Amino acid sequence: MSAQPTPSREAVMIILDVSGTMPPDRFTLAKSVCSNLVQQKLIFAPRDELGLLFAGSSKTLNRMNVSAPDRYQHFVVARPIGPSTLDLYQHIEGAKQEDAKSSSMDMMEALIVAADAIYERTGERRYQRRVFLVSDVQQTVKRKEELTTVLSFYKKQNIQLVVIGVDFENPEDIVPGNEDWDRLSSKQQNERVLQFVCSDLSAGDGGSSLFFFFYKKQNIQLVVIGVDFENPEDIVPGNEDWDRLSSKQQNERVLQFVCSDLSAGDGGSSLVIPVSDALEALSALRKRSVAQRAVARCVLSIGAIQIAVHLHTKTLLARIPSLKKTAEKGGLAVEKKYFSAANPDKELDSSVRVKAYRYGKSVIPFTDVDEAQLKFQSERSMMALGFVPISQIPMHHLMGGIKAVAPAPGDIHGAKALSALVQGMDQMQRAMLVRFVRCTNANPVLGVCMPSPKAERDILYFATLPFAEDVRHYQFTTYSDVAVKPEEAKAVDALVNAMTMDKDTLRPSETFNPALQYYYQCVKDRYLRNAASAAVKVDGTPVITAATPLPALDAALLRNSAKFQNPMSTLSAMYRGAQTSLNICQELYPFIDPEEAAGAAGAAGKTYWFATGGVGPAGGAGGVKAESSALPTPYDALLTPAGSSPAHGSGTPLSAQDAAKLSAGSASGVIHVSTTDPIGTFMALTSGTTTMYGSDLIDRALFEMTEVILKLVRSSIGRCYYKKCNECVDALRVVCVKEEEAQCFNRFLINLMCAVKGTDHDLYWSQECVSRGVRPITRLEVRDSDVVDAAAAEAFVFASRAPEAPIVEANDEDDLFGMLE
Amino acid sequence: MGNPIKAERDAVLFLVDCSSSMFRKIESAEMDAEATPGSYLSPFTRAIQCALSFYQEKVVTSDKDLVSLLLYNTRKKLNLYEFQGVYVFHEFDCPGAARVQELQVLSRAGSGDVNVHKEFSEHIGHGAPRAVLLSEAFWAAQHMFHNLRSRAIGFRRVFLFTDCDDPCAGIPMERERCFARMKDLHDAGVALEVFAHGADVVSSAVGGGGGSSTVGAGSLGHSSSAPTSHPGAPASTSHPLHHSTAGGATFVASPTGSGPHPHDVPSIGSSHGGAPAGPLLATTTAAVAALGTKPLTLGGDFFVRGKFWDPLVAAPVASKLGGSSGGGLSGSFDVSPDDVEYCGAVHVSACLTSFDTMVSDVKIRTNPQRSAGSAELRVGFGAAVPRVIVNIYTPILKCPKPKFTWLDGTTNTGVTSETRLLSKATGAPVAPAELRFSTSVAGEELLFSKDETIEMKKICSSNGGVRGFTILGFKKSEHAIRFKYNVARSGFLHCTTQKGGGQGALKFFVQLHRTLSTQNKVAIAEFVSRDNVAPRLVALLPSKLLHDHPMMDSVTGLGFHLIQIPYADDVRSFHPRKQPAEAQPTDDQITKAKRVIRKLQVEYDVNAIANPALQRQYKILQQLALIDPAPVQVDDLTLPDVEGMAKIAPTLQEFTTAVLPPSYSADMICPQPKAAKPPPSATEMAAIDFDDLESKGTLTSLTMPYLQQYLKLLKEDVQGAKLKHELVARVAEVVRKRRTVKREREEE
Repeated sequence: MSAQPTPSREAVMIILDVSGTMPPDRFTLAKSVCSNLVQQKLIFAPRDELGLLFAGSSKTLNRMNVSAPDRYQHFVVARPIGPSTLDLYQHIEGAKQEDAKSSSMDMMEALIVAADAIYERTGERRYQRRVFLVSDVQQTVKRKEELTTVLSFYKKQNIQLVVIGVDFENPEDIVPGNEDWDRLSSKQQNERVLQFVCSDLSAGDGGSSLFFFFYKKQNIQLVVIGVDFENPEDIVPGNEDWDRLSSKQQNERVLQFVCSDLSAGDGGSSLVIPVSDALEALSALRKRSVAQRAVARCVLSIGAIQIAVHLHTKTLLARIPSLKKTAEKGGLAVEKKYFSAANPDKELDSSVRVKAYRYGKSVIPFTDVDEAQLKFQSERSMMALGFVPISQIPMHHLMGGIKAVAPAPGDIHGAKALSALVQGMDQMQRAMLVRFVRCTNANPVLGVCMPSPKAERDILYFATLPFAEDVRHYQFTTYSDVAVKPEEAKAVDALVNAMTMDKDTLRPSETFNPALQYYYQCVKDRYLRNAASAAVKVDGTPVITAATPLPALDAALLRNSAKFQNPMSTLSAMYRGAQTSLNICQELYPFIDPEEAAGAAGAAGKTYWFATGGVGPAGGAGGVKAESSALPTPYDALLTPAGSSPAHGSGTPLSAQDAAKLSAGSASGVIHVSTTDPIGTFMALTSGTTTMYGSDLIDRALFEMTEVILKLVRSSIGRCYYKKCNECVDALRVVCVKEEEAQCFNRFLINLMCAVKGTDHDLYWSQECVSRGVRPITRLEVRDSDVVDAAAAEAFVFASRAPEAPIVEANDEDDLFGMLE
Repeated sequence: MGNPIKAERDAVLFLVDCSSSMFRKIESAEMDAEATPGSYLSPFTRAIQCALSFYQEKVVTSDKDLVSLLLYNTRKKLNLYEFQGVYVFHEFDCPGAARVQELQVLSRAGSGDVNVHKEFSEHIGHGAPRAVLLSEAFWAAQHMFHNLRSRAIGFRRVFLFTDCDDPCAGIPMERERCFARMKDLHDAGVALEVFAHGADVVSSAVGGGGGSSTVGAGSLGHSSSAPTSHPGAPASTSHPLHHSTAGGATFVASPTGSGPHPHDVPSIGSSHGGAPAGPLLATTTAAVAALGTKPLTLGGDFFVRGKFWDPLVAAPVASKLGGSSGGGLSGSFDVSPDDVEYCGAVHVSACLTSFDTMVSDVKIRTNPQRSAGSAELRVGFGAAVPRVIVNIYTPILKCPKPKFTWLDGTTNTGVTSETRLLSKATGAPVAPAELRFSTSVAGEELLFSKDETIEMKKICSSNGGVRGFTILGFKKSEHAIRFKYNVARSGFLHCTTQKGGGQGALKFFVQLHRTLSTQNKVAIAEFVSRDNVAPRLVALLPSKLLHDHPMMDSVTGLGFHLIQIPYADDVRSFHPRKQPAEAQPTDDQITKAKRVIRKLQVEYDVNAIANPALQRQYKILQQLALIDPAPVQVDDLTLPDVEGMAKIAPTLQEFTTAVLPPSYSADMICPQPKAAKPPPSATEMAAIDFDDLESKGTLTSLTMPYLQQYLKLLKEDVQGAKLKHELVARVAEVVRKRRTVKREREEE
């Protein structure tokens, strides 16, 4: 078994028949197949190399002809094999048919010239090789005996042959004979065709021996694109009289044979395709071709058990290629300058700059030695840590991207060990946790390997798991209290049933990334426009600029994965059926537009006291809001009785009636300081006319008064409650002095100052309190006050109570969604 | 639709009780090996170590989040607000090396370090028991958050550490003051999380399903997830996977203790039935009853959360939801869940046995429950379709490596940079509108404008490139989500009414979840993650509501996991070679493999293994920042458990002997790569006459490293030459240019 991976590059020779035997419309078709082929290569496999050979031309220009001047005439290597560029496309577009009478096109010679051109470019190097023959193969082959030479050379060189047949016989038109060609083994086919060939081929000349050697050494594949070829199934070998067949029919048969013979070997894909099919196949949606190649070859070790494995990429997120920034003319230069933060005029070149890492607020300068120390030392490996039940690995923990872990090619023992493991894991429903190091000194990753047993191949699928640092634990409510009525639940059931797709709808393997495919389409479109106008290009600048409109979405994309609501979409029938269910659900579960909701309720989102202080709906509405906030809130209701109940057993929540009583200011009924009549209620509480509470009565009154003042200030619309607040503050001060509660008042002043600072009510402190002469209670008034005298009181009032807050810049728009990928 | 995605800052205030009881020695507490003789652990030390580990997390993961530390119940005061017993140890700021060091010292004050404790007593000191009012500490916290007015701060949290379950000592006034402050904090968007020292009495009474539950939260987790031991399984406890359920980095939390939804907490839920005495009394009674019925096996260290803390954090919620007559939560569908979520819960960690649990409890909360934004989710197309507003979360996020910045080497001060885009043709700056985006096809440069690049992505989406989800249909889970098709990290969708949509939408979301869960289906949706980006197909998988181990999962609660589905473009065609018949294992060999699997059985725990490369970087940074000469030691938890593997060596050997021939060497088949050859030396290069080789046309005889080194030494641009012939052409060009220059000089 060969351990050689598939080469990543391909060398392709396109043979375009220009001998003039094709009708003009067929020739246009043949040309478009060629240019489509070039486009595909440009977009999906830009590393592949292409060449173009005009067969049946009036001129001759090829290497074979140089060595044998009497042969290989009428072949022009219009473009030797090389990277695909615009000129190749222009050559195809500019191809013209010759006069059929004056030219000749020997397909066998064409195949030889093409193979030689491939050999010239690739030699013995690692390439995939392919010949596309686009022809109607009308003309007679002179040296039919060279077929075997051609065959062996193509086989040796591994050249695939794709014949794109122009006007080949339609398979369905011919009544099948006794024998079905398709059912014959390639050996049988070979035998039959060889019989044909041998019966008719005249004796060859010696010139082919040289090429025989070539063909043996090279491995070239041949693609015949048959124009109007006969259906091979209808050809009854043996029963046919070769001589009676036209030269075209003979040619077709030979090509069929050649292709089937080439494909019979190791993985070749030579084939004959009708020209219209070729065009369709070339314009279908396709993905970029990536050679199957191991991304890592390492040893899987489970303790002392060691198995050699190869890892291949199974899934990898394909992104739209990032486009390079440039300018319309002449390109773009990026200039990055560094300046000292301390001295913004001082430019710093690389010699004075040092690298540093952040450690929170601190910045640590780093030397190269330190930097080298940061690197992790590791060896390429995959080590098993243990086996866990598959059910313990949730899909939503995977970090994205899957690799297939397969045995090394040709390693039968390793394959057997891996198979035993995979089957064992599958039977026990276990996954293997591994530590994987991709290459020397790469950071280790934590991963999981899932068994994937299948007849004749048992492999593991590897996925990366998060480390502890990568996980954020989020907890949400389960909404177990959300009750849904039976008819509402039924409507959702009906909707889900109506919109349930079968397994094959939107299958990953058949659903293409619409944006990526459209990007390819745009690139192709712009490229072709460039190519079309290249002829009128005068000064080297592209005529087509960014002003050219983008193409319309391709129909294939509209069917496949773009704009699912369009009538061409595969899902549209389902939506028509589900429309009623959708409408019912929409009615049963009404949606309130967030913008409307925001309009009704004022600013949406979270609100902070400092942001909202005094900001309410303007005008009358504000009054209403203020009024409502003046009423006891449910919080007060919850708070007050609860606080008092343990001590006094009065557990009645504050009701609306109580509130009304408070507002009335009935002294005997007063239980709390109210926002509607704070002074009255406060004085009533502190004057001792009420006997509802015991010893902490004054404490309670003072606390409630301070809360009321803070509340009033915050809920004041503009200055509307300031006057009331002033009265309250004065009353509070009087009581505090009387009750010798200096501490209480002074602390309240600080809280008031801090709470309004920076809000809309900042002025309340500076203009109402400070300038009105509100000062803390000093030792002159109450003995145990912390504030010594009037001077200290002044200092107290004017002290800055806000530490310097760290500078918090505006948000950086971290791309949290980008991190999803 | 929805709000833009913002990465909002987090501001966390640590509030640590300094009463003398916090400094008592914890009996039966484990001490780490490095502990000096005579040292011990106290609740205070634990609290500070929690804060320290949090600081260290923040230091390496974010240079923007703010942290502060406030000590209360202190003898001395240090605060601008003149509150007694409140000591502002750290104002709000990004933590750095200095703060980390200060905390390292402070933590020693409670661990028997006489000198540090003396200093502590002198400058800070313990307040007399209950002499200091907690409400004052709350006031200080409120002012500190208030001073931090910035729209950039999206999360405000208080982490409170105490061992006192009733800081008000039954004084109703103080209790009310605390409740008033709590409401203010809550209104300001500040969440409170309490980390208490002591056995959690309520959870052992109400939520204790763990049988011999005596240590509350910790024991619940442990007993319900006992390690599955198998005969012969590696008994080593040194590996995280092998003792993943017995401490270590495992996060254990009781169902009552960990949920940030007080209405989920049975003790509170039960009290909302509208008892005339109000919720507080009921809860307290329940707790007291619990005390009475459940004998405590631990010494005096228990904590009745129902006495004060549970009602404290529940009160603001209740006030918002309860209606004017204080109606309960039961059956109240109008609960806006965000109100509930925002309010913290009392987290009671059983520190007596597992300090690690408390640290990881704190650590796990390093990141606030941050939404990546909200978006509209609709089903099908047209105007009259059901719609919902959902919040999107990213529970799994690759933790980035520390990034470097530049410093001015002469002064070690910061550097600002300025990037300008200049036209190569004119040298003038290029305006954003003049920018073009190019790609190269076959050597041709193709240009697109910015608008076109956006249009390319938008045009394909069903709703014109507007952020959100469009459910295209539903599918059986097993048909849509397959392991081998995983392409990207998942997200999580949760619905609230806060961002709009109303009750109807929320109900639809919940019912959709229920229906899909029952039918075992997923929703297939087209997802546009931001305005003007390309759509992706995603499967919305209903989350499981019942968890055996809630903390083993990254996310719990009702919502949908957002799992991307690959397109054909993302799936590579991989065709493994068919194996010949002789590569098929026999039944006996498979049995032996199964034996290996059984012996190596472990439990998967998402929190068990830290990233060794990242931890190493963090440690090195920390070492350099703190000027710590100790060598950096990082436990690489990703390495297999060698001891455990050695114990089962016979089983492994049995498999190897049965399947692999003695001559088999995996290392021969897949050898380690050879070390890269160093580039050719200057002397080697000097020996080559490039000029001569070029004139003879034999530059191709040189190998790639020589050609590359030639260009590198002459500081010539490679100009994108990758293949050898390109490189040869480029070198030839340079050689000719130099020759011309030389000739011109000679002529002069």
